Amino acid sequence: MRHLLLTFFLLLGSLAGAQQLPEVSTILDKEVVATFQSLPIQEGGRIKPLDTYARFLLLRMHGKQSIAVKHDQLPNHKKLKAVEWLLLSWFRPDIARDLPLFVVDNSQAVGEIGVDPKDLRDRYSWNEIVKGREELIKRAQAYNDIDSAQQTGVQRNVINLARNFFDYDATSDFMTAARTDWKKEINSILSPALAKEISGDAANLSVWDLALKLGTMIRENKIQGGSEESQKILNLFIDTTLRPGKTLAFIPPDDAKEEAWLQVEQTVTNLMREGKISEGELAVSKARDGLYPASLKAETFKTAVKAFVADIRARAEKRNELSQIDREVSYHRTDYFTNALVWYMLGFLVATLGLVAPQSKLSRWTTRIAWITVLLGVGYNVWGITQRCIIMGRPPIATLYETIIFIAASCALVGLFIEKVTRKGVVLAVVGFVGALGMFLSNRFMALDGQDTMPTLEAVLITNFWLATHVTCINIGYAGALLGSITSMVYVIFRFLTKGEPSVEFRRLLTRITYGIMCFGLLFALVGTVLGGIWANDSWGRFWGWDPKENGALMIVLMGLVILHARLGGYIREIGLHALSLLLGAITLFSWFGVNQLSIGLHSYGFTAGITLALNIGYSTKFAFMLACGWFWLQERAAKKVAA
Amino acid sequence: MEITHSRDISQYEPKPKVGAYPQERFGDERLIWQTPDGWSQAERSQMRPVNLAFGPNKEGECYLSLLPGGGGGVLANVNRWRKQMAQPEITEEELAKMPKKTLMGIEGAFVSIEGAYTSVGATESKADYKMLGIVAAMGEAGLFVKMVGPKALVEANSQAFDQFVTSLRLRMPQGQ
Amino acid sequence: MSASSKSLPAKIFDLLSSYGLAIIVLSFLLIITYFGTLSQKDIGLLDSQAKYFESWFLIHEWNLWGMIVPIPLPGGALLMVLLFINMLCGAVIRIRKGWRTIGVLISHIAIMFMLAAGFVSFIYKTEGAMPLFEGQASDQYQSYHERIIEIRQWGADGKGTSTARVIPMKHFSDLEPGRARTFFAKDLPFELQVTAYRRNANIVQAGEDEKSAIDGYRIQPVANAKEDEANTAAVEVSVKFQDGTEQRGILWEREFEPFTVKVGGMSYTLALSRMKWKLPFAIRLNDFQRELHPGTMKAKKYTSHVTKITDGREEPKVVTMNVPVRDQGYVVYQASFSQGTSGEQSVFTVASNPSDQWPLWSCVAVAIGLVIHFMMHLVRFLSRALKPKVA
Repeated sequence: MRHLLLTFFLLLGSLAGAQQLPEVSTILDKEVVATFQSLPIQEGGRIKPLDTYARFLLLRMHGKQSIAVKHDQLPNHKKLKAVEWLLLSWFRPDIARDLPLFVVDNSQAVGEIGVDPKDLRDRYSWNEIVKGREELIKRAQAYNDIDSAQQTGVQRNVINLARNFFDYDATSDFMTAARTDWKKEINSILSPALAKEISGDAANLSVWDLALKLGTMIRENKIQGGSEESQKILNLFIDTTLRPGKTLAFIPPDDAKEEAWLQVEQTVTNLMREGKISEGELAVSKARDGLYPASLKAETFKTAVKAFVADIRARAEKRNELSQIDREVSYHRTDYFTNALVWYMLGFLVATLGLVAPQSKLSRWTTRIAWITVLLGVGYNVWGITQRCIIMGRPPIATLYETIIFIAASCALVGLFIEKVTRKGVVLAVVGFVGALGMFLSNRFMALDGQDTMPTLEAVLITNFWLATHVTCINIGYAGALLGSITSMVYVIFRFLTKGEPSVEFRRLLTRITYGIMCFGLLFALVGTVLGGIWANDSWGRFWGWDPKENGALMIVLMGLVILHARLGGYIREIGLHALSLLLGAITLFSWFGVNQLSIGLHSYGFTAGITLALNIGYSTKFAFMLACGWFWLQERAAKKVAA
Repeated sequence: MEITHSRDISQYEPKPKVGAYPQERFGDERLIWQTPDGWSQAERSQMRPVNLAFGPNKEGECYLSLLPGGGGGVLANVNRWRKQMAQPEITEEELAKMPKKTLMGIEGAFVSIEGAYTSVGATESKADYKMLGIVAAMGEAGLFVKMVGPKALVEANSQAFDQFVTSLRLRMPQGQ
Repeated sequence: MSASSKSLPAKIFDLLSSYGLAIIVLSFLLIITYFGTLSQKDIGLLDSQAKYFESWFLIHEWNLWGMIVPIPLPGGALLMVLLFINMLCGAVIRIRKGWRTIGVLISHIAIMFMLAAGFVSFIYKTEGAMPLFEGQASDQYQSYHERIIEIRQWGADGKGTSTARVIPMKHFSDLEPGRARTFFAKDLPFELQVTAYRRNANIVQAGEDEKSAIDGYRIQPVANAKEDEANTAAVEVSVKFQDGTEQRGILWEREFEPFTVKVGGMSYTLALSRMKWKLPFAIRLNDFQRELHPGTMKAKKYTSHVTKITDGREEPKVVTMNVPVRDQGYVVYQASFSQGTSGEQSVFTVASNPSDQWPLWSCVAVAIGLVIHFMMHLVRFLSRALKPKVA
């Protein structure tokens, strides 16, 4: 019995194999890939390059923007870029479905659907998951009915896996309609009369001819859902054409006033319903199908791809929607923030090396090198932010991701200014550290979020004036408070490591630096908070509503004011200032990320679980250093008593 | 305490109805009926806009219910009730032969079933019970009156059942 | 120290103007802000606001690993009053005046002005919703939270008075079952006894033998909703006529029609509703537009094209996100929209706040003051830091 089935599948396979498949080298040709990267498409309400779409699709499913491969059919590749992976999925799904794509955090989730689990956190291919397909649907639906706060981690894993699996299932069928021999299918499914009516005398039948005919016949009631053969052909049509056709909106509408780009699914249904669609939309839709026969030969494919992409780009340009596409491709290719991470890190290491032997020849050299590397880090950081502003045509901060890269850059710039003034090398190390940490966190955040970092904004946020003033001020305030708390940490570390008179002088300098940064941060936090109130008053008619986010900002301001007045009143000196500055740092973390976690409460998970963990590490670090301050204080008091 | 505050009435404000009766005030006015002598009202719910009880210990119940979705048509509902009374299902033909009664202007099947009654959610059945009811369909929606109780009690109240059913009607918008 | 030689008022002034007081007050404000934020998860925004920020004192129930520890704390109102006094004494009266302190002086006065703005708006501000369907007009807005009992008189001809008597919420919201209060007014031919106020309730048909039932109904209390806007209050009233008779009724926020009593050829309607305020102009919604980001369900812009009608004079206006319409001290904002069976409804927020723009002026002043101050500090810091290099 088993053998029989096997033969049957082999037969089926050979039937499918009768259709030719393009060579991998043709599909992954460098020029082809580069051309596809710059194809404009619409997703999430904005026009973006296919490259961005592929990157974030892969990131969501795979947890990374590239995929490591080890496959017999891909002997020349160790790693595929996002677009390469997408093209392989379109043109060679037989290979792509073998790649370990879906990341599953808890192997119990795949165990539940009857798939053999691998490591606790591991990646599975389409071919592995497809065995549990039915169970996956059933479980995911059941789990979806559970209130999201009550879902367990494994249940969320199952829901995510289902979403990713079926999205990818459709994506990897993107070219199937073009690959299908419709004439043969129709002859084998429909009665000769109906088949004849559909295909006529033509030697080939494209999906577009079929859609047109099907539409007419449905309207004339010649094909009805009731009959078995009709149902069969409709199902095949839906499965190969409509379902995968929903995955990508790459067809610019001919009507200039229409903002939404079309998907093949829409053009096909429009054609079936109306009997005709506008010329350009049909041409682009058909051009996609033309890519398949072209892909069978390397020479024809390159030409076809170029023509296809150039055509869509020209249409987009006519609609004034092309201007930022190439910039965005280059933005992602340059990977500003990873570069910044490397330079910041290097700067931190070199500057720290210099601190070991202050005032030496070595330290003079390390300082010079650290300056250059840190400046490169800041340069990449700031230039990356600038590129984003240009692409989106709005001020730098509107999402949580953007606060991270912005705050890192602000800390770095403020730090560099202070280093310029104090010239001790220590702030240079701090800048390198903060910058590298910021870049690292932004990268982790993006991976956890798994979404395009340049989303369209909710209505109330679309106001450049307030984004530029209130949001920027508040984030500079956060930056000041955080940088201040980090110099306080340096103080604590330094105090543990050194003794003696020169160290006292240096400690005093650190204290002044901390105080200065904190006041700078307070100025911006205060003005930013009040500006936020004014914005709220302009948007909703209330200046202050005790909303958690507002309260978070207020807490930073209040803590800053406490420190300021405690210092003025002589209640705190060195240790006190640093202890409170550390507390201010903890409050800032709470305000920045902590309040967002409140609504989720105890049932944190996945994405937010990562943030909760990071937050808890942040809080604990600050409190540990505060404890150290307490210890210093006791020490000093004991010393005074002895002296007395 | 003296009332000192006031507010201006806007010309755009809809004029309230003066002298509205309680049902109207609480949006409870659509159904009117006469409660038969000796019967009393039990607490009502969304599912049972009219809910009455009867018998010495109020062991008999009689209520009106509306299902917007219809609950699967007349036959399915009759069979659901039959199942509650531990009786076999009937067929479409048998249903057609059942007597008819009018419920709020709509003709419905009149059901009379004797048997062991298991109320919804109960695990044990009560022997020697009787159910009277009308299942009427109004387009998609289903309209039901159902009376259940110990057999003797239900038989003694079968006239009151008819009286209640005939008194049930919708209050017309300008009624009263 | 000469503290002992100082007179008592001087000592009090010293205390009120001290840095110490500032630190204590600010620290407590920080603590209640933190607790008040956390508590919103459990008791909702409105209640936490009242408990933590609009109070003189409060007791915070601190959940310490499952154990509830009551912590008495000063309330927001007390702290803000103290802060105001502290700034007045310390940063305005006592401060050494001169160029070096001008920035400090400006920013403190500005912050005091902002606190004053908060106080004025707490007392005088009215705020509410005005939902409109396309083609509909209105000149009144309804409070989000303020419930009232209103009494209106109607003649035999069916004409009602142009004003209604209003009992504000604070006069009856404490009347839980078992407590009652009687209200009267000069030419009102009856007294009104109010009791059994429930913040959130349903009206259900009572069983026949329930003695407490009124007209066959009774109030069924429901757990309070987290967002106060979702609560529907109910209350029992008893109208006591001069001849000694009385008539009882239930008032409910969601009732369709008011409770009516008749006396001396007149009818009186009684209703429990939200406070409504009248605008000096009317707004008619002509067209509501909701723009979406293409291909998504994410809103890009809400815009209401309205006509403002002032004494019959019509003016076209556009209300959109972040761009309200202001007139005669009233501001009309685009708040949200709802889509119902009877079409799209645009929801406006209307606010009247004498201190509407004060925070803006104050913000500008704070910014100027702080910039002056910190610039002076920065210059000093720089000159000190750069000294070795200069020398």
